[in-house]
Amino acid sequence: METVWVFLVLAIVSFISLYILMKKMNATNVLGSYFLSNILLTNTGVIINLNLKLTKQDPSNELIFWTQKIPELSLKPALLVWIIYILFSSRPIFKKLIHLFVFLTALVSIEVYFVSINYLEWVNWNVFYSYLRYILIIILMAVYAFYLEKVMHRNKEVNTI
Amino acid sequence: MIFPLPEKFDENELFIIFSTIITWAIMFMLPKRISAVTITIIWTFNVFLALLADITITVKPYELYFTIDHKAHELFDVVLHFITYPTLPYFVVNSYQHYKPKGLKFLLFVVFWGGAATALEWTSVQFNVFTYTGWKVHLSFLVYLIVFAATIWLANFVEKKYPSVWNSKDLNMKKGSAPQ
Repeated sequence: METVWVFLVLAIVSFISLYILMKKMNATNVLGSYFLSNILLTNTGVIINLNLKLTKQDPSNELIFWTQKIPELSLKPALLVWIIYILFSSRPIFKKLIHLFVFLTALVSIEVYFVSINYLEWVNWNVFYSYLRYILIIILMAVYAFYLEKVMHRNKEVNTI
Repeated sequence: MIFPLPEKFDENELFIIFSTIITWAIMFMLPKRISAVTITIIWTFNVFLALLADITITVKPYELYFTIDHKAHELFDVVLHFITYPTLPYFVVNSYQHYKPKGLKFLLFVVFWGGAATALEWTSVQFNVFTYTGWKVHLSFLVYLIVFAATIWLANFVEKKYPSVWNSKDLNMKKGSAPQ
């Protein structure tokens, strides 16, 4: 039960951080990236767990279900959107890579934590695959953010003609 | 398999294919009254909502309904979530931008679209696209009211920043400049 409360507090912090990010980054891009990160997290999660059965969890336990659902809707997307912000910022490439590694490790750590408290079981899954999963999500999100920026720029150009 | 194929290619797959073709054809025939940015955002938002609902209440411990043939996430689920369903909120927002209803008219507008979406869902239930195992169709109506109201709000938020040609003309008229 404590874990749910911890993730609820982290969820509030995550949404506050996204609000701050809306001031730093384009609000439309933050919203779009948040929705897309959820889509990708859910889809890859379902493929891994339900379709390929590479991970396992007690399906009848509501507490386990919500303890994993809360960070999937808040903390994980917030971390992913922050990664996109950092990748599109003007920081030097070395700093970007360090940030990327730290945020990726944070994302993977959430799963490792669930495994350690027996909320999740890795059947044919490991830390390396988790890193690959999040890297794939980040690539797709970066493509989406780039596309959205381009469309927004084109829209402004069309309306100023 | 990453996305399981249909167990049997029957009425539910055909329903999804035909409704996708019809809705996309209507989408291209109707005049576009929202910008590409708005379309992208509301499309992403509605895929997110559809997935959120389907992956939260169709799996254990709730299992209130399931989609198509499997209890897994199959290929036609992806088509349904990403291609077919988001056309409906697109029509809602597109027609909202045309009529711009306010007050009671807005309420009636959302109720009308909520009713239309519920009728479509009821039809899809008859074709076994959805199989209810505890869910009720009147609950869908309530969900659609909230979803469509939220989508209109989101579309308005984006259109203010990135207006379509249709809306930018409207804004110019309001500002007093002559439309180009």
